[in-house]
Amino acid sequence: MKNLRLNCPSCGAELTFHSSISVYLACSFCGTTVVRHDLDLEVMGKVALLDDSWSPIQLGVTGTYFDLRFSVIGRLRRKWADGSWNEWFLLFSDGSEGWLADAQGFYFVSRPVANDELRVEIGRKPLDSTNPANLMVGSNVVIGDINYSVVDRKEATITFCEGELPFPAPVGVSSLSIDLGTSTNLFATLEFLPENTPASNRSSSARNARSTKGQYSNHDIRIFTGHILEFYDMSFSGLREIDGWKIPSRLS
Amino acid sequence: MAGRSPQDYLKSFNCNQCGAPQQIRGLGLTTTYACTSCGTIIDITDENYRTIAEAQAIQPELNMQLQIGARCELRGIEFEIIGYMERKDSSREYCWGEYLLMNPYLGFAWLVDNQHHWTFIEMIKDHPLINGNSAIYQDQSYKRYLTDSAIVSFVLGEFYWRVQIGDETSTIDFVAPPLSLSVETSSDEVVWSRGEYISREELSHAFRNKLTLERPYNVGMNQPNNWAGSLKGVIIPWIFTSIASILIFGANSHSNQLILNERFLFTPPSLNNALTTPVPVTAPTVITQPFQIGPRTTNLEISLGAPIENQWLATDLTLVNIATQESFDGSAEISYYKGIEDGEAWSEGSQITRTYFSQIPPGTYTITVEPDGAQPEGSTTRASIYYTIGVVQDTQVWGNLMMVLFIISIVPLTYLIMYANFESKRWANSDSAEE
Repeated sequence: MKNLRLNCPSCGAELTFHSSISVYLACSFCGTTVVRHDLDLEVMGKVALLDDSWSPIQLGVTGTYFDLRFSVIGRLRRKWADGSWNEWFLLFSDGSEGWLADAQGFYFVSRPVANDELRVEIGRKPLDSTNPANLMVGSNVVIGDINYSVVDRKEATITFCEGELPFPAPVGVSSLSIDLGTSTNLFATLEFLPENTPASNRSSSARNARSTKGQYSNHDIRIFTGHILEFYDMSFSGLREIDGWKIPSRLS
Repeated sequence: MAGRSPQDYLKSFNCNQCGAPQQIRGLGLTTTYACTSCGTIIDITDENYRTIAEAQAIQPELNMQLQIGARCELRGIEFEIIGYMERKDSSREYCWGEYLLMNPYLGFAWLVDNQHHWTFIEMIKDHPLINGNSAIYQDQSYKRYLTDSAIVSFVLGEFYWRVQIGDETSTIDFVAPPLSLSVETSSDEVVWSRGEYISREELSHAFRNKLTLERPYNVGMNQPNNWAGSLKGVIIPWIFTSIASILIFGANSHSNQLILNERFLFTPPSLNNALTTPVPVTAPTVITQPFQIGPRTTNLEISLGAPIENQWLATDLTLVNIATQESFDGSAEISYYKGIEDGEAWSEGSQITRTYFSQIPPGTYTITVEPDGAQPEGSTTRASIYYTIGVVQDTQVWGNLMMVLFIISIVPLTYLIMYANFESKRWANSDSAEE
């Protein structure tokens, strides 16, 4: 798809949709968030431009995931009770979408998988008959023909977003993220969305994330599979420069 | 933008308990801050810098070797020290220090001070496989070293998780010096990490030699055993010289030729002079048949054998060259006792012995034999015994080879003992039996 250029309904600045998957965009000038319905834009509200994080990734960064080039076109920041992490929305050179999560210097690149595409079993039961409350650290999950085990589970709320995203108005939305690891660098995440996910719930703060505990639906699940990658594996360019630090280059 | 330009990586705030100015070095990466002045633990993800725990009443137990804010270069990566915590084992008697390192692009690592043995530790997300008493990670096998707990006893600076005094995780350590693997399990997380031993010199170099580091105690869990290198250095030369010695020894062919085997009769004096039956006294000294030594100067093995029981027999031997009257002195002695004690048969000594003469010139020789001895213990009669003198020339003296092999093994053996001693000190603190 060619880039779709529209104007911000609030301030008139040019808004560019890089991906046909993207339906949501936060204007980088005024923070107005819009949802795209074909060529019509619906104003959803404004996001705070506060970005208190400190990631080396930023919008516009490009890199590689095995043979595919990607560019970073959007971002979510998720906050859980004891910290935050970033999820960067990626547009791959073949037009597909994916996510790059960065947390404490670890980088996970993953791509969405349809639940009906692959067999997903938890304790030999299909995924959608599983109560997410029973998925604890150490539980086994099979996706396709790969055995994973639960290494982390966190309830988190989206506190910030920028750029393009494949779903609308996520700030305030809480979800349960379950990370699945292996003895190799294969990695997966199951994201359980709450029952009746609100289209927008801007009043909810990060600290309310716990209040929704136990209300995650086992019917609204997003599955992502991918890899844990070394910083160098992705041959980033356009990284944020941080005063006092050199961008590391791979040792020869 | 919270009063901060995007390029400004340090963020300042004042401790909400003591007011001392503090600097956040990993904003967005870290969540918890322990005031460097009063020790109050603060939530730095909270706009108002909420206090999580009041000031710690305690001081660090260890003498901090590294300072928060210091930069170093390890494994080609630049890091800044942003936090320090002390942890104790389940006995709460053993304490060690852990320095949290940060690189904003590559994340976190640790420098752990364990009795001033330093280990550089990185978290790993691909989990090793545990197989009995070992763990396999990236084709390397690690041996189980210690299963224990780690309890946080002191914190300073910032951390990427909600650190609290008293936090406890169960730990298992595995070693493959200089590498180590650790797994820490808490209720909601399993964290694996891999470490590599860092020598004092290397650490000092990483901080541009600006440190004065204390000497390590004892042997570190994953400290490389330098005797292994010494041992490896000598083992190939040792194998070669040993094989060479054996080959040289074997290449010298020895005829091992029997040149005399003669039997003599001897009546040992009685133990008791009051014997009733007088026996004619014969001069015990005898001279053997002449025999030929040669054609080269050679060595001789002279054997003395007799079917003695509960008695001894000794001979002075004089080897005489008939032509030149040149003589060589030697002696041979045998004793043999046996009996039954507490229902068990015992014996000691031997009925045959060998003595060696070296560098004997060729020629015709005799041996003058002067025997001495005793009647069997408890005997009341005077019995005669036959004894045999045997001579073999050009014999293989294996003792010489043994001596050579022993001498060339002294250095490798010393290294082996030092190596084993080092390993036994390493494993002294382990709860896993070595091998």
